[in-house]
Amino acid sequence: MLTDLQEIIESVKKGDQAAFRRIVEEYRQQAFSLAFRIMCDEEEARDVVQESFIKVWQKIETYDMTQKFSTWLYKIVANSAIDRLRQIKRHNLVNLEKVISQLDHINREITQMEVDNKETTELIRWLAEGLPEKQQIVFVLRDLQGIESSEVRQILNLSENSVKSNLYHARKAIREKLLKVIK
Amino acid sequence: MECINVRKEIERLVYLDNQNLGDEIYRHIESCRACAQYLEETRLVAGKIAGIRHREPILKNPEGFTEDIMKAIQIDSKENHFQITEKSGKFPVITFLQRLLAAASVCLFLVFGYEEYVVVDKISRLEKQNAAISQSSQYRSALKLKKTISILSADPEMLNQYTELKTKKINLRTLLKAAMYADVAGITPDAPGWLKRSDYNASISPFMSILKQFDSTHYTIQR
Repeated sequence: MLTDLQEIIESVKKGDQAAFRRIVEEYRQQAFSLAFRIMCDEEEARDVVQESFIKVWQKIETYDMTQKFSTWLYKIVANSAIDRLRQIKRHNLVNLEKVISQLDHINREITQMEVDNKETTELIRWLAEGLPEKQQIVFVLRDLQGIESSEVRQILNLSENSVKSNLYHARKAIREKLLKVIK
Repeated sequence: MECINVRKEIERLVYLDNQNLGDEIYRHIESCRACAQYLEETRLVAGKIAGIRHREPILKNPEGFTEDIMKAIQIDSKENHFQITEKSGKFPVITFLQRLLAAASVCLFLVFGYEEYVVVDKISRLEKQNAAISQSSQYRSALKLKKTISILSADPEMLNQYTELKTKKINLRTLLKAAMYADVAGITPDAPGWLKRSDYNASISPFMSILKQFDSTHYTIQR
């Protein structure tokens, strides 16, 4: 955790790239986790996070220092991921890098990390499958990412009731799905 | 506490790391089998979800990832610098002129569009009126003609005159035919004598039949 975050952000606002590097190093893993859980795709998640950090650099002037930085970053990441998901659905896109990486896997040994990531992807995809977009995102943010409801509300620009109701319906659907498998 | 509220509390508290439910809920669960089962199932589901939550996706090659971002922002910074330099030059004047031009063209389009609409509307109205007038005048002429015909056919003298004129016309046509035949046969009123009798008969027979036709009308031709 950066103790001098406010100072670092002030430096970034002045165009200090070294300060921005510190922010990237500090938050890249959290941002990647969120993007990964929304996209259910490692390559797409990497692209989304890179794009999000570039947006952070470009829009740092608009960041309100009274707000939590992680909430602002999550908001950018979540919106970029949602936009990308919609784009993929609309145009039925295939990520070229993903195809290349899959082809690459044929010729080399797969690491344990890749297996773990793949399993996590499959699990989340299975759980969230069939959920409406909003329910899926609220579930990912609250139950998988462990973000507080008040923060989820700010990230998604939703009312308290909307967050509660989306979470309730998502949990209900997932509960039924899991219980069928467990029993 | 009612079952519905107990279940809401279970939902609220169990999901994130199985927090303590509180004495009131535990007392209810001891006496309510359905809620006890609900708690058990919720804990099971929440445990599975927590398991997925704790499986943190790992970012491959984080250093390379950071480098990629830094390279991208360096390119972005250069582009921004270029844009700022451009903005400080003639850019605002050009933008202002462009906007002014766009606004003017919109105004012109609106004014001329309205004028055009008014003219087209007037023309179409006049065309409609004209068509109506033409139709009514045609109708009036037809009525006039019908009236004249009915007046003429009702008057016997006019009817007679008409019949006489018609007969005269037929007679004149017959006489003209006869004259043509006579001319072809070379018959003149004063010297038919040089023709042979047979030739004369051959030439005169169609002429005679025409004359007979002429006689059958029972009218004499008067010059």
